[in-house]
Amino acid sequence: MTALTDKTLLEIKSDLAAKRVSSTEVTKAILGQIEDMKHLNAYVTVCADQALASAAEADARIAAGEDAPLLGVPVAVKDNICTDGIRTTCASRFLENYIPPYDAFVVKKLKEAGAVIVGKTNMDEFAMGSASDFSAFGAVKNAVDPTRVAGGSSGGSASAVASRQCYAALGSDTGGSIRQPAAFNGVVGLKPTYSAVSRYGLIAFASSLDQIGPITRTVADCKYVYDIIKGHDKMDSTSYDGDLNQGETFGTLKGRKIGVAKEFFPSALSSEIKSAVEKAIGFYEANGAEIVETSIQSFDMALACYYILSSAEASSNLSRYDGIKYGKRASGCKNLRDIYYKSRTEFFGPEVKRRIMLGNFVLSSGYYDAFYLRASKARTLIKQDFEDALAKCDALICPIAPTTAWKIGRKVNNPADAYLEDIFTVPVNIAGLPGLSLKCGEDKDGLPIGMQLIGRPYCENTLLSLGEIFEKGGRA
Amino acid sequence: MEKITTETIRHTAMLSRIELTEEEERGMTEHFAALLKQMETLDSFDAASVPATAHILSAVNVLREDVAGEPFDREKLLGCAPERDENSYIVPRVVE
Repeated sequence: MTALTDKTLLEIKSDLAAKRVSSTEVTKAILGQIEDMKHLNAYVTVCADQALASAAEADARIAAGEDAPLLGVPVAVKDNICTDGIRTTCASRFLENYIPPYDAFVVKKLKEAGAVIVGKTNMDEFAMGSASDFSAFGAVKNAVDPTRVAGGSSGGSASAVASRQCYAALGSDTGGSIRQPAAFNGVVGLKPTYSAVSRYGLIAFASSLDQIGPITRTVADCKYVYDIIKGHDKMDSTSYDGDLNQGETFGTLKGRKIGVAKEFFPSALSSEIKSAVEKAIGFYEANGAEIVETSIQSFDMALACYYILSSAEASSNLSRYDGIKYGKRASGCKNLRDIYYKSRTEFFGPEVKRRIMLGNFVLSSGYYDAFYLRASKARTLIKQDFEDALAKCDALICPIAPTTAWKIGRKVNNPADAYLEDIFTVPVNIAGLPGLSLKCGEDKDGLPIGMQLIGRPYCENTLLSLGEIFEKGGRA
Repeated sequence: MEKITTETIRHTAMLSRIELTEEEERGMTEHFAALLKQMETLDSFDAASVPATAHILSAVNVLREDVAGEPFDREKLLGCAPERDENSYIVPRVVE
């Protein structure tokens, strides 16, 4: 018999609805697993009491014959998404004691669906990082090999899902922060189209790039959670008010076209990753899809474009941390200048300081045209290249990252090189497109290798169908 | 590409309202130099002929009816402040 915690979200939902198990039993099993997996450091805050109270409430509703999409199902939320009354730290000393006075839109959606929120997951401070080792609460460990990083910045969410510490978790993705940790832990991650999921209550990093999405164990679970959290929200003026289901749901590959851009397979790419993604391409072709050669000529510019734009937006967004209205204040401040300087110097971590500095530099007088404006123009070219490529196919396929999960501690002192890890994921945020990450193989050490499917705006269903077909038959 | 000097780093730290130690200044100078090297990839196109994209959405001026809503709970908001006095935030004297 499958252990409770080993079941998928849809399996546990079905067991709960059929009263084969109670939400209290399931929640206790998950809380037990969280305790057993404590060494992975996937959670910043575990809300055992609130979770058990929600579970009891769910059990009463189920007993009364009620149903809701996630009624009684334990889920986790990344710690940069506001939860009313539950500490939300962004993995920063600055917000160590911050208790939001409101729920983010997506948290409201989860609660309306009856979900049991078991805790807030660890991450890179302010979502700035690719390994979840820039957390003020210690590095997150990889669920497959705890000596390695979990990926980032949603490393806690991905590690928690992979190690059965919840049935699904929300992450956020500014440059790959859902997709890369999902790949590093061998689970599924979806970065929806920009504007498909409200950012209300997501602590801002880079507002034109940030997007919330689900991390789950299967593609079907991913679709299920995505359908719950997406939708228009008047509190987010960038939230899309049109048709969010522009993709197609299908079960066979006949007539489907999958694009392969040569730029996504640079000569320096590890042969293991190249071969795993090529095998996936082979699967699609062998099962009836047409493989279309295409090109993203601006690909080489994406990384520079991303680090300029995201840091510029971050420097502006993080100027709100002034040590006055919320967050911490340094002690011994004699005047206003002291409050700003001392609080920001003491409570921001090193990577956050680097990004704020870089952002202020590229926006500063004399450098704006050369960096920020030029990057905004490169964004036009990148967006156009993806539009042209996706006009010829249903989805593009490429690796998620140039390497598998690396040993904890590596690269921390070499930030410019660390940014290269994001090369395959950042272009998708720049163009605002949906990207699905799923496992397509393992390297010689048994570490998961991830592939990415990139689609047209609001065509998540197309990606999820392609992902589900691969999940059922393509993984060797 | 222009060389990054300690002066540039100090000016940027001032704009960021962050104090750096001398060691941090050196680290930041090296970091900026490495990053600016990566950013040279952006020199490969003619910027004059390309419009800028600040945002991928075409939506502009998203408006809604001005409807009175439920305000945040005052006590909860003030409860987030590091220092408060009843219904006010406490800051040091601003006008000397």
